[in-house]
Amino acid sequence: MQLETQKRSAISTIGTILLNNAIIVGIILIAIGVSIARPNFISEANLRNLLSNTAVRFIIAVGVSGCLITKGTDLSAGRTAGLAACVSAILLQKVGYSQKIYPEMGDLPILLVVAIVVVLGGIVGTVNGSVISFFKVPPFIATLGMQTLVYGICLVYTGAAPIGGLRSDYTRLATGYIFNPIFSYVAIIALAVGLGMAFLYYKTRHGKYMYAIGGNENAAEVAGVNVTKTKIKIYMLAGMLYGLCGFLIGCRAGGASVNTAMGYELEAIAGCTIGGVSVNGGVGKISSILIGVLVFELLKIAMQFMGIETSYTYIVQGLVIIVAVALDLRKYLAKK
Amino acid sequence: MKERYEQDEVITRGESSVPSGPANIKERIYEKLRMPLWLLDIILVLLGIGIIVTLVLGMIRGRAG
Repeated sequence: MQLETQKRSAISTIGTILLNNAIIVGIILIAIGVSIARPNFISEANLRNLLSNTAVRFIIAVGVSGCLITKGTDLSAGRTAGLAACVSAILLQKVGYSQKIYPEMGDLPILLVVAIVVVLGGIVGTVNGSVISFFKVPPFIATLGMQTLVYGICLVYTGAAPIGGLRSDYTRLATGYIFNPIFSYVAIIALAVGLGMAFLYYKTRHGKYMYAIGGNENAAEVAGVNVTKTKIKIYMLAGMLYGLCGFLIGCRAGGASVNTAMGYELEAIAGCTIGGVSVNGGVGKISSILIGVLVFELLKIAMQFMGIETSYTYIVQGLVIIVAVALDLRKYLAKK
Repeated sequence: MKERYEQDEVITRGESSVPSGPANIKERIYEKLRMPLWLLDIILVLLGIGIIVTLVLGMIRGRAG
């Protein structure tokens, strides 16, 4: 009798774990199926492509995660990264290029350009955080407005023209690697960002304040957390990460335009939600974000290998995001 | 004076209770939904079937095109 009860309890636990991670399990099964049907799915080139795609989206997702953990959101992530990509591309065009935006400007150091776009992203994030904290505008509305504003600024700045003719030392960042071609510089940078943010989230006061605000903002305030200052810092840091991400996207793509990184924030939110960052706040780990983003990219690449028509891949991605949110809702209702 | 002191209302909060934090938009929607768990499970299964059907259709269209 006791053995049967234990067996039922074990089956129930396994069932709950599978259900809570249904999307990850499902996508891994799809990937296994695709790798059996198409052996070149697990080739070096494809793995490099997967890691590289995951790297840039992971950086954005980590930025967005801070906002989600504090029960907010950031819909301006993609546009901010896009603006950063355009600024990076403009400042790193090669001398002598016929359509150089600043023909009289010489070669700027790459680190200086990184600093410029990171600060630019930080300014956007600070404005977001200030509007949300001081004026109590819901994050959805504030960042939606910022999304449109940043898009407009990018349109005006670039004249809606694509930017090309990038310097080879900039584009080489996308092709360079350490030890193995799978581990590109972009992937290494993303890993460094992940480790840095993990330290910030778990080992610093800022991280503890962030989770406290996400768990119960009023209680955090009563306990002495400066909620306003912490939220502004969270959005500012997120903006800085979008700036860095934009720089990396520019070097991978070999160019930039106003449509660069469009929709990345939704993929980032989807990746966070799949990985277990709850939109109810207070919950989320860096490792889970990485898994969520990686699995989402794996799905997209698997669908390409399956020969699925592009239009249908958008439908599947949308359905996966809905399932991720529905599972999050299920966890919330089951807890209540 | 003593009666007045005894009559003063003292508002206390239970030791285990904390002021509830502001619900975000998502939480407010979740609260309003009031959906039973079994119904949500059925919706999840239907969504899963929808994903599989879309994948199959997409593969057929992709190979036909």
